Amino acid sequence: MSLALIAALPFLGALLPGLLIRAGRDACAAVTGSITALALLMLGLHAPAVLRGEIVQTRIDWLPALGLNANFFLDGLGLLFAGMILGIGLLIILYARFYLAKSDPMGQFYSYLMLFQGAMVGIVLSDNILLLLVFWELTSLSSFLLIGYWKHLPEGRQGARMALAVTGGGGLAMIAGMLILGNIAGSYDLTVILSQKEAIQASEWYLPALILILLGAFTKSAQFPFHFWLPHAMAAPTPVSAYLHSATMVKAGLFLMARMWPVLAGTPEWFWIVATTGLVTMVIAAKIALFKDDLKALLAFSTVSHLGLITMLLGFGTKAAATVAVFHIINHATFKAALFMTAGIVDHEAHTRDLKRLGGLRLLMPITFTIALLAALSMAGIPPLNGFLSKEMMLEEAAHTVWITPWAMGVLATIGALFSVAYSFRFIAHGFLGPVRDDYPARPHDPGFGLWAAPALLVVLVVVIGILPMTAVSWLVNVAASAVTGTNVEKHIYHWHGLEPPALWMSLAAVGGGIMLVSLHARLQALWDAAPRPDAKGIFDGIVEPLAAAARELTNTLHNGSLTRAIAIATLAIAGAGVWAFGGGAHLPGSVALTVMEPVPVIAWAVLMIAALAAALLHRNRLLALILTGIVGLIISIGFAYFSAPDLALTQISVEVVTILLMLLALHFLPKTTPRESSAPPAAARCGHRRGRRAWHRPSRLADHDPARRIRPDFRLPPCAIEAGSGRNQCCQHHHRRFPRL
Amino acid sequence: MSHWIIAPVVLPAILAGLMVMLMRHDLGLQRIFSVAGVLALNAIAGALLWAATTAPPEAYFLGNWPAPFGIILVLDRLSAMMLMLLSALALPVVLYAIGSNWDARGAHFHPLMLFLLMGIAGAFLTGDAFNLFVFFEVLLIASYGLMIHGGGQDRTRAGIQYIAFNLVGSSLFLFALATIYGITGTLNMADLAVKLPSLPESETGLLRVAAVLLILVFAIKGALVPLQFWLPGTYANAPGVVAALFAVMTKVGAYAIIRFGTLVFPTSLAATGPMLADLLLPAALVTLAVGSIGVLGASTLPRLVAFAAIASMGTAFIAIAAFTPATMSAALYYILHSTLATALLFLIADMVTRRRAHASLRASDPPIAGSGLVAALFMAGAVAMAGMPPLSGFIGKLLVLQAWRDHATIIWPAILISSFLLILGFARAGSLLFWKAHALQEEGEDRPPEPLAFTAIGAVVAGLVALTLLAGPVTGWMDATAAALYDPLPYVDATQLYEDR
Repeated sequence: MSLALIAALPFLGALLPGLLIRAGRDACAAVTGSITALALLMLGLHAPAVLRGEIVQTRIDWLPALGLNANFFLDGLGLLFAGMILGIGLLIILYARFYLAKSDPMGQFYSYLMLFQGAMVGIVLSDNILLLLVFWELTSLSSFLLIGYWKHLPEGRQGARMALAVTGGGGLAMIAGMLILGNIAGSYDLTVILSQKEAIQASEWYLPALILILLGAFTKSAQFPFHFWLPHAMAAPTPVSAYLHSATMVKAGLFLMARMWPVLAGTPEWFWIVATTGLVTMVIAAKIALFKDDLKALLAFSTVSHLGLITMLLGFGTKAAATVAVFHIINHATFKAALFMTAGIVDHEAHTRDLKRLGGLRLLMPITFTIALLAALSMAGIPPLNGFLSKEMMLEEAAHTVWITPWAMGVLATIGALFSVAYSFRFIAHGFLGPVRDDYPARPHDPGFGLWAAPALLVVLVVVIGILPMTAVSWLVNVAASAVTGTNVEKHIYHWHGLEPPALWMSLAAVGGGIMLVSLHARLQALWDAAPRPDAKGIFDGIVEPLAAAARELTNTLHNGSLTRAIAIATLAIAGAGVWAFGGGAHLPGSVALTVMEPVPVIAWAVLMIAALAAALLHRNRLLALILTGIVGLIISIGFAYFSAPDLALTQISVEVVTILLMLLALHFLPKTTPRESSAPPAAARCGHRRGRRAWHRPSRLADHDPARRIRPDFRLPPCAIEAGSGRNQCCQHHHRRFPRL
Repeated sequence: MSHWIIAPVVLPAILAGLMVMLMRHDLGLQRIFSVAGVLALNAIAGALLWAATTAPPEAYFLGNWPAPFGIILVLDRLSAMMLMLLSALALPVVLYAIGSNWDARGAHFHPLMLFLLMGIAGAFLTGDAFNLFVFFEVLLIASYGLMIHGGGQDRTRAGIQYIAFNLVGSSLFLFALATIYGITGTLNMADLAVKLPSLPESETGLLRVAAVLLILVFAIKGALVPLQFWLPGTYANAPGVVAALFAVMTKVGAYAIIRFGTLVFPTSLAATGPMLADLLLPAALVTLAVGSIGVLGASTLPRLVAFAAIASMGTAFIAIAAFTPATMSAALYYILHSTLATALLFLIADMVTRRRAHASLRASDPPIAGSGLVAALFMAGAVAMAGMPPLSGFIGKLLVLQAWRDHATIIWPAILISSFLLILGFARAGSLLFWKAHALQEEGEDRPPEPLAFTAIGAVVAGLVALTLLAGPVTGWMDATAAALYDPLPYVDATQLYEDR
């Protein structure tokens, strides 16, 4: 029960901030924080057991028939991620309390944040892949709300929709993938699936399942070519960016790949798809990051790059690489969250995040500078910080991996690391170093303790892990890596590997090259600006907008409101289906005797048909139509009598007589003929829709204003359009007067 | 013989008559009786549901005439479930109509609604195909009145189209019934179930035509492409509260197809075989596509919801079209979900449209009164309709996907891609309605709070939540219902048709 409670706590807690905001911002933040802390505490109670190698489970039946159950389990990987989500969540709550302005609805913010936190914790604790899907899509939905939190900003709204489209769409693909996986394994329980590696990899459905699941993971973790949503999600308030893009949302994809690693990894397909995607993402995003002037955009692309790095490591499919991946997940969460928070602090105090307008902040904001410096050096992989340790190990793994040629992977990984050094240094050099300027939008200074406490704490972690990796994290890395690989991992983390391994030289090359790139930055930037490159948002909008426009066009064309056409289509469809059905069966004379045709019934039948047809054709003359209707009724009555049903015949006659009499009375109030209705579909379609239609604007717009003067004599307005026009219309009013209301 | 079976038909009829005759000028009194009547209907439906769950099907012989000469009503698990759904939906609808003052905008809202309930309840209960036609007409006549409730030019025009299209359907219904009667000499559904398998082979051609015509009549009700053209105009122009109630009318079509597809024309019947499935499945896939494309391309909020309704009917028909017990169970769950989700969205669309004074999805207005709450409710409705977790739409979608796992290559992409289009469409609409509004530095106008209307909407949300949390027991019940549909003997036995033989 308790695991389910850990996942449920944030959801229950999501209700509180919205209500408690009335008690003040501090109360609101405190309550949100305590709920998170409580969940963290409950998780901590399970930690000793997990570290001993046990697996904690909670099983609640939900929909056993489908295999969807609220089953949770906690192993090393789950512990690592849940701890990260809740721990960094706690810091974000603290940070956001001081970051958000008075005018921002804080209750809403914390509610969304808790929803998101609950969804994330749910993902990492799920022992059922269908349940995991539930939480997975919930992160897409709650991040949609978080990214669009500043409702008035168009970037926020568009970023939110883009993130939802990409990650939600990936989630849909993943549904299919998970269903396939579950059907192969015969169960949707992860613990069962994880034990069926052979059956799954031997299945002919392995590749489709792999691709579909990876689509989900890649979209979530912003892997190339789905990386473009992440920078646009930066329109969110900085606490959101720090949370989503350091420890949570984007790590969900990595978590999934790690979770599925025991069953999906190790095949050539896995290696080629995952390692290649990761490598490409790492290099491309690192390169883009170097040329971003917006602090958050720079960090966004660096996040994409580091996610690519971890993806690549998982893609290698070896235990050593997977262990490094786990280690880097921890390190990236610490330094990247700290960096996002410092970017937020700079934005908050200087009112700009543009590197072109910054510089010299080290003297004005010494505390912020110290935090940023340590975190950025860790991101660059400078010893002895934690980023150095995992990057060195990554380069070592890459150097020993054969990808197309024996050296290609090592070279590209080094290039990625080189760009990483460059943008990290640039973050510091252009933001904090250099002379103090006098044209900042606002005079920057260090913020209050509340705002820098959270990043400071993270940076302490960066340093401690960096200096004492064995004491600080190796136990967590080992237990998590054991869970990922399904074997017992005892990894020793060293600072110094000697002069022998290639990683040292690759690191040195990266640092040297990185420094060179930063010093040449101005010239490179000019080249970069001049070079053509695809604009992801443009392409995305270029797909979605025409799609929506085409959908609108198609829908309006199909459903233009023309009754004639609708009935014609229906009639054709019915006739077609009838003929098709008749063709499929025998029709032989025999079982029922046919009625003999006699002249009188035939004549009556003919009259009936002619009268009905004539009524349809001549209905504009109302009296004539009424007489024809009377004939139809009379013949039907006679028909009843002829088929030995005198009671029915009498009833029918009385009904007919009364109806005809009533209608004759009604005719007295009506004109002799009905108006000609238009069969033109557009006229009917435009009726009443004065807004938002393009193609047929003219008639209705003309009718709206004064048609008598504007319409050319040769242009006949469909009567329907005239009626729909409006009461302002003269001829329209005239038109109405002729018809008293019935 | 329990007389309670006919109560869902008689109670609304009597109440409606009383209202028209005795309290036509007293809206307050009408409201009291209407709510009381719907509450009583819920109680009766609950009791009947219990009876159908615990006992085999039971027939009610009107005037004590034996079948097939008299008209019979038959209560089984399926009809009891649909009845419960109808009553459960009617309650929030009537509360919303009162809370939003819709019922005061024209005459006779409550009597017409009760007549509609009577017609739908009768259609769910009847065991006779001709009687089904009669109840269809009853519900249609009442719906014609409701559709144009409140008046206005657009609404009246849409109402006339609705009537015309449904008259086509009614005529077709008569053709089909006449053909079947001409071949078999009976229209009692249980009697048909017994007689059709031994029909001489010479009649199979006609029987197949009759079966197809009948299914197409029901498909008109269920808005299956290409017979869906009436729906967007009708639902989008009907008063929001009426459109919400109409959410269950499309399900009458689905119900009738399930009933005839399992009892009268099962796949095991040699003459028709898999014909219904062959007809329904492609149409259902296209329906899903048309609906979800429509959601993305809709120009007004009510139209968006109308297309979402079409899409959800497409999914429901996909599930039905397999005509196996496993898929039928998924279909039944999905029908419950789809009815509630559609009704919810129509109520919210009405709430939004009334507060913005127009329905367009192009122009952005200042935030509406109570924007936060309405936005949250809209989000819930959109999540349910698009089949996103955590609401029942996701479970329904999983059930349908799982049920069709043997034909995953066509059905799965269709359902998942349409979900994607729905997500896009709803996100665009929601972002315009509730977010972009804040970009205008204006205050929306204030409105008096409508606690009753919000309570009604909340009740529908609660229904969806319950359907999600109780998915286990509910699907268990559905499994038993689907199994019962494929074992028609108890149903036939209940009609006492062949007791002597």
